Amino acid sequence: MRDALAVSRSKNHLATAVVWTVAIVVSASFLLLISNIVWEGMGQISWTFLTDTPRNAGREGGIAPILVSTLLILAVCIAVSVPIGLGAAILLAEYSSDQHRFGRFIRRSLDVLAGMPSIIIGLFGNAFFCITLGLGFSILSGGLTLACMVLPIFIRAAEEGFRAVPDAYRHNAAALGLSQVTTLYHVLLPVALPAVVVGLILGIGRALAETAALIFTSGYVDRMPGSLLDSGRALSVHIFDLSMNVPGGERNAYGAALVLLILLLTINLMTHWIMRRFFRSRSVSP
Amino acid sequence: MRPSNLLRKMESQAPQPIPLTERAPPLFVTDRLGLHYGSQAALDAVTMTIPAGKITTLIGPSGCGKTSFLYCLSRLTDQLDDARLSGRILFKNEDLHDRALDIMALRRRMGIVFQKPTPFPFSIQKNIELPLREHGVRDKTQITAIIEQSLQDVGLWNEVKDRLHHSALSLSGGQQQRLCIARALALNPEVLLMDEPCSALDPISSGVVEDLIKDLGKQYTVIMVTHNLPQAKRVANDVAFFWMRNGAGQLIEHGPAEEIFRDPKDPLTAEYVTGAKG
Ligand SMILES: Nc1ncnc2c1ncn2[C@@H]1O[C@H](COP(=O)(O)OP(=O)(O)OP(=O)(O)O)[C@@H](O)[C@H]1O
Ligand SMILES: [Mg+2]
Repeated sequence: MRDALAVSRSKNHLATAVVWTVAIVVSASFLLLISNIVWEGMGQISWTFLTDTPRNAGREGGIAPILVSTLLILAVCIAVSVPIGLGAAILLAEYSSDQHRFGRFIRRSLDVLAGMPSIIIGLFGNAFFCITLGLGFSILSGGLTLACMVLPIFIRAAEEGFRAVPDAYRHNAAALGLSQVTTLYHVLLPVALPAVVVGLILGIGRALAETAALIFTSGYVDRMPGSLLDSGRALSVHIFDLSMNVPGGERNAYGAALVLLILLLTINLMTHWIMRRFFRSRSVSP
Repeated sequence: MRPSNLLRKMESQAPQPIPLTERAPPLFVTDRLGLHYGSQAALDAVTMTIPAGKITTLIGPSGCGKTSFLYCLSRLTDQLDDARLSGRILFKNEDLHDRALDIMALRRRMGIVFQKPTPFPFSIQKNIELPLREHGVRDKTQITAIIEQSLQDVGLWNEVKDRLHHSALSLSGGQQQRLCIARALALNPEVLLMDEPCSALDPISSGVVEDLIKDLGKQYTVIMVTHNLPQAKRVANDVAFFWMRNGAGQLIEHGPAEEIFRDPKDPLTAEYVTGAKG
């Protein structure tokens, strides 16, 4: 009896130790990574770094055109992903039951796509958007290709968000004679929104980190883009180029990496902020 | 009508106004109503006539199909993937499954209150305003007036009049349930269908809601599910007793409340209302 107790107690201790070790290792490596980038990148970042054009293959000068291209690619990606993704998620969650063959097929396909290596999506984007649709190496091609990567993640997350809305809301809405559009927009969407936003942030995170898919589609011209049909170099591509192909480019690579990190963080915070605003303005009727 | 009533009526010479309840046609008629969830039966051959202008309570043990019955009456079964109906339901002599029937307009004529209070996750005001707008009430002053009136009706006005713009989720459970009732009343329905409206509430809120239902019974036809027999005794004009038989809910007995509680015809009813069974 006493032995059993002792064994179970030491098992408990062991479990506690394992959990703590894992937690510490994970957060320590995260902190190490972040602090390394912040430490090395801090000295690079300045107003001129953000507003200047790159010179000498990026060793000197700034990242202004790259920042602009990145934001434009991201804008195209979001503008395409959000409406299509929401529509698909609503279709899957609200209009096709779990058992339905069509719904199951779509869901399975999305899961496969979500795990697709980005280089393959990049090649597809190059073949389809750049060549078949004739968009060439352009910000538009890059944004559309990124949308292909973001959509599977986003749709599945948003679908789960809608599925998690309790049926009681749907039944109450139906009982009050609310139409499906009203129910979706006023009742289901606000409840599902946090999950939808998390899905979008995950997707954007993946998009911002993407290098392989963009090299083939938006290219690596580091001039300021004049339109969406111009080629533009994304931050991730710039970092890759500086650290791999440009001897002596490391310092600016760190600077660009820190900017990317800050960008991710800003987008994250901004989305939460917008979501809260949106939620409040919708929850208080005019 | 019972003989004693009839006698009294024949004795009185002066032409008296016939009470509303006896003049009106039945509100609901179900004819051998059956309901299956997938392959499992939930209701079996329920034939029942529900009069207008009365409070009818549905009683019976858990799982005997009371909620399902209310879902049938309001066609909320449409919302359930695997529900299959048989038989017929008439609402004011209209076939509820007539293809030409506008289901959204129909639901406006029925106020439905669920067992679990479910205010929508936005402001108290919008909870009432949204359905009104959906049904074509656009005038601002009219909307404001209806909101105030329906909140007055459920005794919530004084508690919330200063915070109509607060989230409805910030209300207590009892207040939420009363808001849900107000939301249903705002559409000026012809009948209220209520599924255990007091079961999620503490005794005090439950008492408030119960008094409210009694009051509403003077203006509306109310059909209410309850597990609380004393409550049924206190509020009901009519009582319908459901029981599981051969794996499906059946209507055992239906009649005036005093009869069901004092002098039930069916031995099952007798056992249930005295607490010997169920
Ligand atoms: N959506 C559903 N899908 C499948 N079966 C269901 C569903 N809703 C109810 N049932 C089944 O139908 C039967 C009747 O359920 P119902 O909810 O109508 O009972 P009830 O009389 O309201 O019970 P309670 O008093 O516990 O609320 C039960 O056996 C239940 O398991
Ligand atoms: Mg029930």
